[in-house]
Amino acid sequence: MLTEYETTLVLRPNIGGDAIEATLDKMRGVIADGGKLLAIDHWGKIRLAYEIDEHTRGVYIHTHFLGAGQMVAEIERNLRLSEDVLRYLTVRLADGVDPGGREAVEYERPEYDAAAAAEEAWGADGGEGVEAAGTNADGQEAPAKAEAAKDEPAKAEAAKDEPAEAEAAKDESADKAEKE
Amino acid sequence: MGEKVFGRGFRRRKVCRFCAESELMLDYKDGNLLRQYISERGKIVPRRISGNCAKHQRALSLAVKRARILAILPFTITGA
Repeated sequence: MLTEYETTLVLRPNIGGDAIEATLDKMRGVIADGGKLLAIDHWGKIRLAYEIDEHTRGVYIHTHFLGAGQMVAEIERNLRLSEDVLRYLTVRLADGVDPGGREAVEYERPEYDAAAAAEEAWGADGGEGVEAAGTNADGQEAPAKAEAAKDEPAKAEAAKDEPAEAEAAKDESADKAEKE
Repeated sequence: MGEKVFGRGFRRRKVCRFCAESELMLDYKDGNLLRQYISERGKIVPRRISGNCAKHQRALSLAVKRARILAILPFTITGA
């Protein structure tokens, strides 16, 4: 009989997919020891409602798993120590769950509302300096970088902040601004 | 106390949205839904305005507070 938890993490927007995977792997390692991972859900880079460590966007990951209380303490300890994790929140969902009855799923949701809704609510920003050649929801980052170089002079007027900041995120949020 | 001032007598008999529609779940991750229940300043809307029942207002309050921790909702909005 395990307890069902969900943990939502917010990571720095400027880290690469590798670092994200490393953080998740540490979590998977702890869960594998006696628990069961049910799902990992990548929400992608979303505009934060307030600045954290001078970042305006964060990478949101939502995890769903079964485990014991000590496991949660261990996971949170790891998250607390990690420099990439800005926020985390664990919520207990249910007690006495039978691990056999649950299947594990790992998926990404690049079309999740949250990003668009957050942009709309808090306003599109000029973009965080992002090198994140993320493997996950930001799968478009790598090819977009090549275009960004030539698009940048044109977009430079549209995006008013941080001229020194990298291209990819600016490209992405400028696109979103134009779609509105 | 309310009857003496004209404006205060107004009482809408609003139904609790979450009681009426039982599929509507209060989720701290759902910024869109929760955003309807915070004011321009970012404060949680009181029950007499939102029309929620006590149980759901409590759940809403908890959800908003969790969402604030995760920066899905702000703690405060300045200049509103």
